[in-house]
Amino acid sequence: MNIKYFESITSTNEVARDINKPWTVIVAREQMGGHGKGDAHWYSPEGGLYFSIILPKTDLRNLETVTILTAFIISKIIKEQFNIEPFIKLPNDIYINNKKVCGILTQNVVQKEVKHSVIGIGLNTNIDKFPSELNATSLKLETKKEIDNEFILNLVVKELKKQFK
Amino acid sequence: MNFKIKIKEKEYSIEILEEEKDVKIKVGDKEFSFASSNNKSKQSLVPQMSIPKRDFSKKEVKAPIAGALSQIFVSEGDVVKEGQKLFTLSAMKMENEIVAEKEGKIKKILFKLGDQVKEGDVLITLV
Repeated sequence: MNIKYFESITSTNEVARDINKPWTVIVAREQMGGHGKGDAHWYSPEGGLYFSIILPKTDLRNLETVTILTAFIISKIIKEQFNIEPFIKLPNDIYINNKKVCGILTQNVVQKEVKHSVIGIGLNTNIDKFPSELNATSLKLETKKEIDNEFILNLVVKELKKQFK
Repeated sequence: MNFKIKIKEKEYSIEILEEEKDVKIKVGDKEFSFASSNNKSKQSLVPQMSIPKRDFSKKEVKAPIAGALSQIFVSEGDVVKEGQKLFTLSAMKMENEIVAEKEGKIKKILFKLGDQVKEGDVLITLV
């Protein structure tokens, strides 16, 4: 797997825009401008798992399906690895005990056909504390255990690849 | 795999099944099928003939998918280059940046920021 690690960048989706090779993964230790749809900020301190995957070229319909399925894939991993019951708030947010734990944002560039497509995932793994105004939690807070970010990253990419076979 | 999701305090049971190349999602007793790969064979309805090509599509930019016009990067009268950002269409699950297919001068922008557009709606006409 082609993984590119960055220390501190604006957002992994932003960096991914300039990369065309499918299945390249951009990982950031922290994001200065992590965001959800529109201008919604995504709190991205060190400890969380922030990554973007360059997707193979396909049509917008498939990409919609893939985006929804990614929420299911991550929920499945949370459920199976940590024995936690997550809730998916459609379209793409995952909650544990009514607190947000994961957000997903697919961004495409379309010129007649889809020219570039990237799916960005922000998963709160090893974050100990959130600002009180954020209704958020992390896997570490829920499980009281340190989470292996790389292990989770690999699982997500592996499961997502299956959707393109 | 099975899940429960909650939308506005109502709980739904979801089941995902993989069948050959398709993914089926069951919500309660309703079933939705998705092709997980582009397995539709390309059909050629008309044999290759030397019909002159008249491509009117170059003169207009259509919405490739339904969504909200969340960003407009150009104004009427602007000359745009091939590949230049025109607007962003935000659908529930995705943000789609639409770029110019060809260079041209923007004659008219038919929708405004925040408008909901349908797939196929003409958004911009070019001269």
